[in-house]
Amino acid sequence: MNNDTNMITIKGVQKWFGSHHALQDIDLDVKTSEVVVILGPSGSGKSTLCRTINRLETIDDGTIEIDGQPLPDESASLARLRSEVGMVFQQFNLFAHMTVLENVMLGPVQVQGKKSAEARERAMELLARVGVGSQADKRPAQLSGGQQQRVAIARALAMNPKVMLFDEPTSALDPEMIKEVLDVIVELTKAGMTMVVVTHEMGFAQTAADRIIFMADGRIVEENTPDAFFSNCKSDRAREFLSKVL
Amino acid sequence: MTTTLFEIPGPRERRSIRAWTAGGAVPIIALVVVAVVVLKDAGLFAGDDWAVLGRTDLLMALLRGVGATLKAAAFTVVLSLMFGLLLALGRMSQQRWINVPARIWVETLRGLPELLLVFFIYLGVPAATGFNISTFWALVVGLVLYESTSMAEVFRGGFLALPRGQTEAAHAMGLRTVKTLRFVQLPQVVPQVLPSLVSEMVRVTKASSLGFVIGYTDLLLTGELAIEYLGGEYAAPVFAAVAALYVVICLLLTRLSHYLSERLGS
Repeated sequence: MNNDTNMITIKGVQKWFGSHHALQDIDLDVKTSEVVVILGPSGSGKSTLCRTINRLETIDDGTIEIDGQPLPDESASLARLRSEVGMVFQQFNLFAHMTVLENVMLGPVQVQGKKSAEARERAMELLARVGVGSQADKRPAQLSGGQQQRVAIARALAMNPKVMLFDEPTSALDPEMIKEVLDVIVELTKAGMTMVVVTHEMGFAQTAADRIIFMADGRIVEENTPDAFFSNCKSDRAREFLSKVL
Repeated sequence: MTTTLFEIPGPRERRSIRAWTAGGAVPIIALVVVAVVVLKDAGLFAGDDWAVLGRTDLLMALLRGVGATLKAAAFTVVLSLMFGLLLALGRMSQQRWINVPARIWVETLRGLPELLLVFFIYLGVPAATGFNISTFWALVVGLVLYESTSMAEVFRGGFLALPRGQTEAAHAMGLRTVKTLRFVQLPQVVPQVLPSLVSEMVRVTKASSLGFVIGYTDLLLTGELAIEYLGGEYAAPVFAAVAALYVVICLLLTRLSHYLSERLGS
């Protein structure tokens, strides 16, 4: 139990890939139920930062805490923490050899010890919620990209996570499928989920984010509300970026 | 999934392919005919000699040889699959105290001839421990020492070919090493490497014939002993029968693997 309302606390984080300083002096707090969107040019470190939160990338200095607990380094405690942090990948990463339903059931049954019947019921509920209920017995390869990503979101939600991480969830999708996935993510924001979203979708950032984090060259360059950021950003770097994407 | 090495042929190329196929068959058939004629003149196909294959005692001995070969092959395959997987996992481990010895083990043993390993076990175990190891176990252990490293490399290749995202998604969900292996990695790696594993198993079956060197009466040694007993003029028919039996065994193994891969793929 913690007293402050910060779900994620990142302090003084540094990361190097060899000699490349990928993350520099990162300080970031994410409150419970807050939706933080990370924007920036490629190579800015935004995906790397997102992946350090569940330790898919390690950090070389600084601390990360989730719900008051420091991020463990390994084994059972790390696995337990990861089961409470849902992640949605750019490449979906659905388990190719399992059906859609089995994909969504695997976590609850094998990680959380839920009974098969209970997990199945919840999985069908979630699949219906994201709009792919009829695809439950198909293999991922038989689904479109947009459907696969929605299954991936259902799979992450099945674990009842405290936090959801989205690493460029729509970047690998055909344009006509982006909306169906963003709609699901927006619905999640309205349901009060704490979220960190790395994206290039400016429309989504403007309407759904509580806070925008702009990164460049491994640093957090600017932090603001969406309205303030998009209409009147403070830094030159951000202005340059916006002029190219808007 | 289709893999095309060449372009789909146009009409001229198709005519050319047909011509070469027909034309190429002629010298091959001619060679076979010449070979048969020459061997016939040398007396290889003398009817009386080949009649030896009708002897029940010979056939029973050969069948026992088949059994012995299959037994050695089966044990070797199962054990080398198990140890091969363990070695592969050891080599991929993050912990240096596991992956360094595993790597040294694999790279050393792969450089040694299997026959040497079989001899080493057969002569070394009694010398070191006084325990008189049977020819069967000397053969199996010797072969497993080598084969497990081959299997390990096959498995490792399969793991490296698996997209990283599959393992990342499993870990991001809280699945730990053993469960990730069991539910995400192996179910995808094994069907992928099955063709390579099968060709290794076929090779192992043939490698079991090395047992004749230490006196394990497998199919090959049985054939040799039969010729010594019956007479050298029966070498051709007996060896032909032995060869045919080996081919049948290997074909059946390939059949079995296709059946298995279909069951796994569903």
